[in-house]
Amino acid sequence: MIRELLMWVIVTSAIIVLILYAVINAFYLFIHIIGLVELRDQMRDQEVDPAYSSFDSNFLPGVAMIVPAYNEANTIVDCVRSLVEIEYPEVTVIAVNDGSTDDTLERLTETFGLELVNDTPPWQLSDTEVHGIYRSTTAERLYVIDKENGGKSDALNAGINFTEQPLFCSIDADSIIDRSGLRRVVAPFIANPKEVVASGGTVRLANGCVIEDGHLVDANMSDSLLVQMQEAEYLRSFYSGRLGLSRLRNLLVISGTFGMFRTDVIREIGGYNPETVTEDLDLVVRLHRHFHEHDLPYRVEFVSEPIVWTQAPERLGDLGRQRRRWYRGLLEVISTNRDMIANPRYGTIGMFAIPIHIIAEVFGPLLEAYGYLVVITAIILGILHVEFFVLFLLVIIGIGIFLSTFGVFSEVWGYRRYDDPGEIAVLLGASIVENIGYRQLRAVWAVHGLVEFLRRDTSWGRIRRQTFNDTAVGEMSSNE
Amino acid sequence: MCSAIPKSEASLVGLVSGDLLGIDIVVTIAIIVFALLVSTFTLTMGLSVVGHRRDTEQAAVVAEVRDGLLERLSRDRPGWEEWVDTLDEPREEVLLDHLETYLDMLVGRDHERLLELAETLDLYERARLSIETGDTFDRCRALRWLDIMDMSIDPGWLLPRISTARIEREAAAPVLRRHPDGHQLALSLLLEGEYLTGHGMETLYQLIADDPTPTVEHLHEIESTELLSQVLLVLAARPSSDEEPPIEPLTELYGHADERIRARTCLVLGTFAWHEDLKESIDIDALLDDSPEVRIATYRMLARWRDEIARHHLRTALDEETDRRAKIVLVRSLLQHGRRGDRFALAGLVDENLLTWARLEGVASERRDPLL
Repeated sequence: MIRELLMWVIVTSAIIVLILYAVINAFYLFIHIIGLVELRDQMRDQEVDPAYSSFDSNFLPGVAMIVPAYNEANTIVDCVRSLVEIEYPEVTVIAVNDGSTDDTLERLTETFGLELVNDTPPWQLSDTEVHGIYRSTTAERLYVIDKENGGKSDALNAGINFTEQPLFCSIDADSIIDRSGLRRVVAPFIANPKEVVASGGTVRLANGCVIEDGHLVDANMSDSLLVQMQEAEYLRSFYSGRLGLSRLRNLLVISGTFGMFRTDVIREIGGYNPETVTEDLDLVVRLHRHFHEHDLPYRVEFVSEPIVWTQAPERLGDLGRQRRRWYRGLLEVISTNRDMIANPRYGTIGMFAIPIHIIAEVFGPLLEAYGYLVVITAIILGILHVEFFVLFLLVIIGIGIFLSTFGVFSEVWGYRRYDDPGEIAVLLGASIVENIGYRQLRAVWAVHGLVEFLRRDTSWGRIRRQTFNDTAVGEMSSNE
Repeated sequence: MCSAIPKSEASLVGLVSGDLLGIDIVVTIAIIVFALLVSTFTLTMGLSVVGHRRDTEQAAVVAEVRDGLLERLSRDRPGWEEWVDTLDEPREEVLLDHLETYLDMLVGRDHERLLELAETLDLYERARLSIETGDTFDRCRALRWLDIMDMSIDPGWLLPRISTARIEREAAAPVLRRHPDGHQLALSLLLEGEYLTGHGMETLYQLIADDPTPTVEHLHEIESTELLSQVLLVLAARPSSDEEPPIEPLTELYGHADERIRARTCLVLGTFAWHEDLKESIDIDALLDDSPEVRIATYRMLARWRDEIARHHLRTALDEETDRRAKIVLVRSLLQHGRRGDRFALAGLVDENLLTWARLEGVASERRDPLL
């Protein structure tokens, strides 16, 4: 009787898992195809981009580049240097030292000749105390806010409240921006100043790249298999996923690594939320909420061209901590905004984007983990049809690899930052390996993230950072 | 291990045993997936190899064509025709890329020389053909080429050939602007929609630089608040010229219901510092406006006027202003009037922290926000 009941549970749940699996993969396939169409259109549109070939245009909006930094001594100088030397006529760079315990501030002071402007800000900048505001004597675009540790959101809010520029761009301190990249991400605001409130750019991995004095000299693939798998994952996520969702006007997240927003709009919705561990997702979902509730036209855009290069974790433990935090943050944002789910008031965001994110991103990894449990149970019960199972597993892995190759194909068909066919072969290989082992690990991290969420864990976790040229390795953490 | 399951159990376990989703179906799906994988891998690798080979070949061509172009540019007689005749198709493509960049970048004699090259390449006729036969993309490319070649085009020929899409209207406007009868038509094309892109604002700036009067006279016809605020920003940024526009259409907007329009009207009025009648007649209600944005624009307007009346208004506002951002602009505006007495008086009237920030160039200063 118990055996029969157990088998019934297994079979029923297996059918549900199979249906959801089909739905998830059909969604991904659809989004990936739409992503290719959008990539083609964006590349073509760039050829008829007449507006900003002229560098001295009167009508390029000013941009504040805000860099929150907590213990980023290894990368902060290169990052800030890439920003102060960026090709754009009106930029203010605001580095926010968020109570670092290493020598982040000292390195900035030493490199850029900082001098104290005032130890009191002109108005309240953040929830935590500001110790001083510095200005560079060698780079006139650069300001540094030195404050108590309050987390990444609080540091970003300090920069947003400080600036007078109409647009601001959040960029992580372990990232480098292309010299001409800012123009690309500003382009949607110029093309549609009435409606565009946010735009994000494609983020690629800096590991393995040659970076000199804060500038990307040569885009190379890292030798680390773990990084290669993340690269394949990033390509799929940015080129296929976000690009496709952006075309459908259902983009839910602009990467916290690099995103541009209208300053007035973000101030209006209260800035970044200091209570969340995925401030990027939280912010964009609140933007959707705000504009739908006020019945105002708006657009959140995504730029396909690779603009920012960031460091990916090179150690499995660091990667696991990062992914668990992302998963926790996803649950947190979905839970906070549960009234938007399947709510027609929020248009396709409520009726499509959030539900499909729940199915694909929340349940997807959990179902996968559950599927492995079912298989183990079936083996124990002696009801597993081995030939069938092996074939079925091959199909699942094959579909996963097929979807992964969309990202690599987009890279080759699109901007071709990896010019060497050998690197493309490595990426394709990584797309295969990603689905055997790494994918299963992600399912385990999701389960772990779920447990942490249920325990109300709000930590960011420690991530080790390296300098961009890998000469020095330090133990660092993200904003606590 | 478990392939031999009794029939009764097999029907129960269904999916797990392969009965529910027949093994034949799974085999078929597996074959399809495998075929897809092989195809995408082959296609991706093939594209990569072809692209790499093309890039390698093109790298040499790019350097060769660029060097040839620059070398001929420095000659007394460039000899474009003889050179162009020697170029094959890939080299001509690269030449067009360089020509587009340099036409936009170079001025004077070099620009004139490049225009001769464009003529040799028959680019004017090619552009006309693209407009005649192409899609939106081709027409915009062609109009872009005509623009950088400083060409105008007969409005009677062009207008029936472009669509009403914003991208095409804005691409056509700079080309029409150069035609003797084109100013009004270009203005109408630009102001037809709900808003302008940055490119449209740049073209409007050129039109206003030529003559601001038609734009100012058009203001009352603009229904979209977004478009109106953009036009006002372009007017506020206009270069000084002998032709000054009429002021009445602007003073009418001074009391507009939308705060952005009020604020941007103040910015435009700030450019009329020479207009004594305006300065005496205008009632500075905006000093008491509820919107800090409007008050900030008013302070900036008064800072540009730089006279006793303006200074008096600013000093009066100092007691009333409660918004810190607006107050910094107000104090800076007073400092810009440059009176030594004001500087000493301010030290007693506002806190030292605020004075420090007001003196600092770059923070809370006039921001570069014409687009937004």
